[in-house]
Amino acid sequence: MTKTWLPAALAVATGLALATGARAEDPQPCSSAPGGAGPAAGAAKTFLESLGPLQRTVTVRSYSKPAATRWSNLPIVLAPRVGVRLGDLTPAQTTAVNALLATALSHCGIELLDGIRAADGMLKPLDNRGIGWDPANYFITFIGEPSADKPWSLKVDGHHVAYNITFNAARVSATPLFDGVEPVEFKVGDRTYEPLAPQAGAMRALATAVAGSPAAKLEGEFRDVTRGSTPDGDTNFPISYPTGKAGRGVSYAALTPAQQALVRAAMTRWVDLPNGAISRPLMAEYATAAAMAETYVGVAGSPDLAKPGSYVRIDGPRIWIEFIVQPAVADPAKVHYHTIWRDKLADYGGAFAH
Amino acid sequence: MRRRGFLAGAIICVPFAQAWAHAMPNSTLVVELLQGAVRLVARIPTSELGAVLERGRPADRYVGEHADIFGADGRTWTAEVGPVAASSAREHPGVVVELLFKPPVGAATKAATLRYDAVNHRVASHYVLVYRRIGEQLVPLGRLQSPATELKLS
Repeated sequence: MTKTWLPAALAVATGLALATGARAEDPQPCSSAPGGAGPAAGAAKTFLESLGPLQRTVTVRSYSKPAATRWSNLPIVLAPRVGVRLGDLTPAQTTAVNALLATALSHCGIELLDGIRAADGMLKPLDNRGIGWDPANYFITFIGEPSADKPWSLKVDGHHVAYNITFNAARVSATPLFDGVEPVEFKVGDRTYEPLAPQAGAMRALATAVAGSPAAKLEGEFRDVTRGSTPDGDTNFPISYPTGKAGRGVSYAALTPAQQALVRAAMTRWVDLPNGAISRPLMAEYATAAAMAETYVGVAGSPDLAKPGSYVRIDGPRIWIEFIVQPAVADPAKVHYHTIWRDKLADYGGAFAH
Repeated sequence: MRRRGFLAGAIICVPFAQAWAHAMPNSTLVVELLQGAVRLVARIPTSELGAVLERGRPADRYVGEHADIFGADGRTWTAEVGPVAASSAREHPGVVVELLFKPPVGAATKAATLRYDAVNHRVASHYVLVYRRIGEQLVPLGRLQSPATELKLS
């Protein structure tokens, strides 16, 4: 049975603890281990040293736009990844990669990765087409040689996760950061998992609060995030964004203090996913009074996020967050989520924009 | 007014997002710059076209109304719209529509700009990957997604 199979299979296949990723209703902020460029470079080198020669070769790619922008939200058979597969790591290598992830992600970011992979474990028995739904099919890649002072990126890329954490570049960066999940809620044994519950809950509260404002309603239909990747990667980078005031939703300045608090709370659900060494300076930039005054909230579909086509967007001078409800692929009667956080200036560390 | 006529419907093979993996397949356009003309081959997922096409409205007319070529002098070229063909894609059915644009008499014969917003005018998350055919090569030109509707061809 799936419910009893999943934890053991994940433990073997990935070595990642699934004690995390459970229904997240805890309002406590996301804590982080010591992180940032120095600790991440040290942990990355330790991880590389734990790998075999061939694994090292596929893990480190050149610091280049084609390598950096190659990520997808499709299963690996439809969008092959380059890098070392988490499911192929030995226990010692898994320990090393977990230490690395702790320098780049907060515990919320790690929980989310674990939970999304666990959801893929639920899809695995349903993968009759062999497209690669499997928690083992998540890959680690370094874009550039890990260094304490030269630019490089840590990429974690699989079906429903794309983390792009860049160090030592022109700008602090944890984006593009794609997350999705199917099923959105599932049980393993007697435990309920809902990996994107913090993000969905924050966006649901925000959408519900602003839905009464005609200015918040976005034109058109939404079926996916609009600034995601193509099957070939983030091929359109650098991408364009709406400008001006029209068509972007309701202005933060026009919201009540309670509504404004919901906007900031929703932002933190994404910005707190990377390690605090990364998230703190980013949130400080995103949440200045001047930046918030130029931030908009747009919604489409049902604000309760219960139906496909329900969509919420936060669009600031730098921050860009989208949350979309789609039909589930394995069971179209249900829904699944896609989300993306981008930074209009700092994606990939602000490199490769020209 | 556009003229509708028959054009040989070459079926193209360029990337589509996998509709059966995620519900959101993209469209593709292949632009071929000819001597004094532009051939445009649009491939649109059936699921996306069905969402925007009013009942009873011909797909070729719809596509023709959402595609334009502007010459270097800014004038709109006239279009012949070919019949709708079924896409050869196995897993993500779509339709293929071929259009041939020519400059009006006395207008500049150099094509400057593509305007295209089929599906995009209503589905904000839909995107169109645009390629230029040069011989046997397909060279990426860009991506069209609301609110962007135009691409420079030169």
